[in-house]
This record gives sequence, structure tokens and C-alpha cells, in this order.
Amino acid sequence: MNSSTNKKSLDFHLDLIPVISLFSVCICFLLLVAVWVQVGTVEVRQAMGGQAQSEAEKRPIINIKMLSSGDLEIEVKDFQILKNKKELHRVTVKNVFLNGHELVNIIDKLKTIEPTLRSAIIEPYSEAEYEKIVYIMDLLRVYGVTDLGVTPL
Amino acid sequence: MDSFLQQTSILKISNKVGRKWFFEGLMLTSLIDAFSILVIFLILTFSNSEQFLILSSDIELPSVRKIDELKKNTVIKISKEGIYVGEKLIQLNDLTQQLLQIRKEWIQLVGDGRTEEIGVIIQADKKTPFSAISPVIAACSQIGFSQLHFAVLQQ
Repeated sequence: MNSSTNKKSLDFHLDLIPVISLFSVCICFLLLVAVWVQVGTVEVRQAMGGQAQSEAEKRPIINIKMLSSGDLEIEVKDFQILKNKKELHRVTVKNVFLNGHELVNIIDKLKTIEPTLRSAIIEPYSEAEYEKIVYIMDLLRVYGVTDLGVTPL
Repeated sequence: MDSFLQQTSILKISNKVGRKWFFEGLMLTSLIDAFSILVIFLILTFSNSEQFLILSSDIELPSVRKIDELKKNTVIKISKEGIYVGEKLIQLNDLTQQLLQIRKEWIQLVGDGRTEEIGVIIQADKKTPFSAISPVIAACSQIGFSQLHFAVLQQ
């Protein structure tokens, strides 16, 4: 028997065209169903009407009043350590939408004094834009104040 | 036998030399590499979760840095035309009644023990004044929707 006829070539030919077709279909499908905009939520926990005052335990809380000038009035409540520091009970942040860092500094300071601070109630004025309310909520949430409430008009 | 499309295709290369030149010129290996990377990326970013929040062109959501996951809840949309609960346009006076109905259905569905988890998603344009959102918040609190989820976009 001739040895040359037994020698089979080790090279093989892989047909790549169907692979490319398959990939193209996959890419088209995935591009069509892809979601490019990530929608999420900012959670707000509202106090319920039926809750008794005595039920809720006293926790440190900040009350943020939005003013039409763009300023914020921050009132500190139920901070045990701040009982004797009257100057920190009510703070005003000038034009928070230009000086977001000022609000951040105050939150940082309050968090250092009272590390358990988690709650804030935002009191917007009637013409306050939704975007601005959400902006303040976001700043608070980023710096650890996550239990938020909004006071209706 | 070739189909009509195959016969008329501009990519149909009749002789063997031409075919070899055509496919070698395309650099198929790197093309497949690129396709693989693209497919892997798209599969990783693929989401099969149900899209129950419909983004309409007249509502531009505000963007934030920190978002919570979107969970299935009743959607209240505040637009220029009025207030929609789900797909239904309602009058402000009927909002409380509508929310009460949703709450009743929810209690029937999950039982009395889990009513504290009930919440709504509020969807409004970023320029909407608070005076338009406030009645919705008040109605939700009154009915017992303790969790309000403001729809936002990731920054």
C-alpha cells in the first residue's frame, strides 16, 4: 500500500460565513432590545396619618425648608449632642443649586456630630421644580441621609 | 442550484482565486473577534426585566447620581394633560377613590400582613412645579401608600 494515500492532511477548513451570519443576527437582536436609559427611583417614606406620635421613636432628623430664592433653611431636631449648641440648630444654605457643596459640608458636619442621622424632611415651596427637589434628595442620599420625606403643601 | 438572490448577489464571486482574495482581504478572524466582543457586551447589558414604566416624549425625568432599583408598582404620571393612574386619565378629585381601589386590590392580593410594602411610582417632568405633585403625595399618604418612588434617570 502506498504510504502517501494514508497521509491525511491535518489542516482543516472552518467555514466562518455561518458564524458571522449567526453573530450578525445576535447583534441585531441584542441592539434592538437593548435598554440604553437606566430608569430608577428615589424612595421617599411618608408618615402615615394613622401613626401615633408615641409609636415613632425619637431619632435625629433634619428639616429642610426650600425657599423661592434658592436658599435652604436647615433645622436640626432631636440631636442629643446639640442641645447646648444653639448656633447649629438652624442653618441657612445660600443658593444651594449653585453651592451644592455647602449643603454637603453641613450634612458632613451633622453626620460627624450625630452618626445615626439618617432622616430628613424636605419642605418645598409651591413653585419648586421637581428637578430641584430631587437634586436635594440626591445630595442627601449620596451622603448617607436615606430616610427622606416630603411635606405636602 | 443557486437561488435568484445568490445568483444576483454582488458578493458572489465566480472563480476560486477571486473568492480566496475576497475572504482573505476581509480578515475574518479579527472580524469574528470584534463580533464576539460586541455580542458579549450586549449580552452583559441585556435586561429581560419587564418594562412597566413607559417614558413618554413629553416627560423628561430628572437625573440623579444614586438610584434605587425600579420595582413593579402602580405608576402615577403627572403630565400637562392631567394625572394618569396606570394608563387611565383621572380627575384630581377621583385620585383618592382610585388609590383606595388599588389599595383594596393589593390587600386582597397579598393579605393584610404585608400592607406596609405598598407603594407607588410617581413620574413627572423635571420642570413640574411642586404644587402639581403635592396633591398626589397628600392623597397617597392619606390612603396609606407609605413608599413613594420618584422616577428618575441615572446620571
